[in-house]
Amino acid sequence: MTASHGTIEHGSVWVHSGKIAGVGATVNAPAGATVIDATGKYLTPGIIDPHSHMALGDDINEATSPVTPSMMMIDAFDNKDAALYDALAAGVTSLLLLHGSANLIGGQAVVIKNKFGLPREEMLFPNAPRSIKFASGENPKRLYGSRDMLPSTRMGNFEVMRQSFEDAKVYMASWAAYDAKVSKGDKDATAPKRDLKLEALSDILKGKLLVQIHCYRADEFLTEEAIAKEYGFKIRAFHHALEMYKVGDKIAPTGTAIATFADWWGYKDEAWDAIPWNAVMSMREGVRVALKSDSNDYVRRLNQEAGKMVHYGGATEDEAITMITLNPAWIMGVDDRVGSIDKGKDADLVIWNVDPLSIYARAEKVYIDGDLYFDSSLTGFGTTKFSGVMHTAGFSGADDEDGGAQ
Amino acid sequence: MKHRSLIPTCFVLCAGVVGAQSTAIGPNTTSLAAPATVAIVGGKLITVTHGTIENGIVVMSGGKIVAVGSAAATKVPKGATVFDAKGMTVYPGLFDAETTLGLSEVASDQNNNDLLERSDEIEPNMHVTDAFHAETVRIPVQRINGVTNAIVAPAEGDSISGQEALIQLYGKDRDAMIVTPDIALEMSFDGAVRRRGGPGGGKFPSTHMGVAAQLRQTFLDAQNYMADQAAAAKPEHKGPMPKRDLKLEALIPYLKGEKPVVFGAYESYEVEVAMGIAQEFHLKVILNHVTHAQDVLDKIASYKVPVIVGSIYDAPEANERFDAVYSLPAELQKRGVKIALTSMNNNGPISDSRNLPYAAGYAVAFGLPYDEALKAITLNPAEMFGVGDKLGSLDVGKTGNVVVANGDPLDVRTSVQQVWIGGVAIPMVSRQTMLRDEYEPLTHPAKP
Repeated sequence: MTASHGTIEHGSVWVHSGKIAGVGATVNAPAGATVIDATGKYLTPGIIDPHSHMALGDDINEATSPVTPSMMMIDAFDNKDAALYDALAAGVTSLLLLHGSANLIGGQAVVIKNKFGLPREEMLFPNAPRSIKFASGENPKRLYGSRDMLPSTRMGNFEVMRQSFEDAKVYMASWAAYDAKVSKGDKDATAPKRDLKLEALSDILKGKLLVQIHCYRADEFLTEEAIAKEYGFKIRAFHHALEMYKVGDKIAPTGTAIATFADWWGYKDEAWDAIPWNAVMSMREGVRVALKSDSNDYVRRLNQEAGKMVHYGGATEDEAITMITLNPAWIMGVDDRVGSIDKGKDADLVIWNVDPLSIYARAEKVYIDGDLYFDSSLTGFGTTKFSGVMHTAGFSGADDEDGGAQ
Repeated sequence: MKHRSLIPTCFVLCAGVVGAQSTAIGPNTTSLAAPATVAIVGGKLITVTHGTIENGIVVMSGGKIVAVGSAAATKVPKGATVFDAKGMTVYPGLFDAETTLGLSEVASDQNNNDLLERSDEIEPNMHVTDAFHAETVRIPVQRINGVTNAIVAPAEGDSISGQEALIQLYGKDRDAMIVTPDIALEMSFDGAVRRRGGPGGGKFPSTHMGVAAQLRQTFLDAQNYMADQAAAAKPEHKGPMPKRDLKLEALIPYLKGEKPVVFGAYESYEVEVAMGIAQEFHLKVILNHVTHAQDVLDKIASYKVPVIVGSIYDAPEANERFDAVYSLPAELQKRGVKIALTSMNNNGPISDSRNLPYAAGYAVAFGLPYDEALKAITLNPAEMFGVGDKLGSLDVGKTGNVVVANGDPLDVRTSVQQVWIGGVAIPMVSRQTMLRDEYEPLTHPAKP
């Protein structure tokens, strides 16, 4: 199941130097190549989760200010977290580890390849674009409202965002003025003081960060898009996006994708209109749709969450696979490297015992950059690179299940 | 719930396409019907008790199953409504062994949560029937995926958190939906029930020792109470009757072994201590969870008690193999333990019963035989709760709870076509299908 060009029965994939060197009914692999017989089995690209908080311990939310764009999730990344292992054993090869939803403008994400067992720096997705997490709706207003702070309403939420961008514009202007002086040869020009927060906000306005927005309600998608237009940045994806089915026709032209749950609903007011047909309806409305876990539990069966899309709305199997591979890769800005079985892409591949969308599917072998990282036939953990002691996740991994902002 | 008005442009856009939209979503989309005589014809019957019948017929009448058999050997009664199930699977309604249905609506809103009375550790006199909200939006969402019966239980969090009820997921009102009130007692010997954060919390009991001692004392008090009440009921008794104590009185049927206690424990030592208390007071136990008790599975089998496993989606502990919990149903079943599965999971107190069949399917992926998996969500829980003669299989005389689907009942890709509860073809409609059908035509302006 290639995720980009359909399903090839009895197909072959040639992997060389960590990359996919060929894919098709037959491939021109050299005679000496190691052959892995997957007869009767299924091969997919590695599963990609575009919304996770695993391996961040209890450091999901810097919930001390509604605007914290200089928080770097990599500073909390614990590569021994057992959740990484559980995800690897379920075929998950890349993840976007996001700040939580307490803040209107949260921190900057870390993009990893799930090379469980390797040192921290070797698990980072090389040269992946930077992403930043925004939130909206109930979580920030409840948290800061409970402290009698701004914001305590949705009006407050959006005004905090606008004010932040106004501040960033002033900061950018001060640097632009300085740069202009320097370029004119002014030796006495003094540089403005660097401010990490304003610098990060400026990077948003300059389009250097992929904007990932936690957002539930139809009206809020429209407001977010209006603010993005006003300040000249693009929104990469709405996360959760449980009401996208109501306005997908309006969001589709903006190019903003969604990362949504298959069938979670009703855990709070803004999830009350969630329907399990959301993903497929939004897709038919022209929106790029990914499924995501936001959970150390569901990350272990994203393939079956995708399988539900066959039931809820009649997605084809290829469409369902794309929702957990190529589309989340696009949301993370790494779709030129991973997310499908195409020549030139990273050899992140999973061999499944049966159709991965089936409830009976198990990941048997998981390859990342052509290396085997998990093999369920091995005794013990089934890992090939990990040895030592795992850490227990101090957090369920679900930032939003119970409203987040804890 | 929420009121919604469509913006004017939507009216303009949808005006042209409304006629082209098909609204067919199920045979019964309208009403509470009376049970009629129904024949489900031509499907593959998965009976649970006596194998699979290809091309079979199920006949329901008066709310019960009156015939099950092959098409060749089974007569369709004159005047019966015939449902064509050719190419479909036909199976008994699913039974979710633990839910919080009707005890919560929007989980984050405390005003509509009746999950657990937190004021005390010992609350056998809390009856979920007093809070069960039959009209909850959540029930139709679950039943249209084939779940017809469920145990409604208070959330865990007290040592004894209250009495459970068996419900049918369809009926005009509470009385029609509650099959058996006070069917079992919810108990827990999980470290989490310790008061206010455990040691240092300042309130008894703050340790496992405290929880165990309090449970023992409670059952001793109830034994004494039972004896005092029995003595006072004798003709030779002089003086006033002793004062009724609703808490202790509520425990009597359980002390007598007339009803089961659902006893939750996760770790091996918790299971052993819990079973010690249960055996001391001769409680009839259904063990719950045993999630991290892999090293005492033989011992659990030796107790000869049924087990509600997991959730199988409970996280393994760090340094356990990834499938340590997934494989528990298979490991227990292999040892002869009668198991049930539930839709409860570690994502909080609210669960979706509609996902119950997938838990069973997942257990199959990790070694549980298929037939046993189906039993774990039908006949087994029915038997555990004492209603195996009424529910859980396609057999003559049982309640007419039957499901027709377009494929394997346990697979995520399968769509349920029609559900009968008490012999009634239920409306295949929920608030979610209504939202779908409301917006579907509005968001496809370009569609011809």
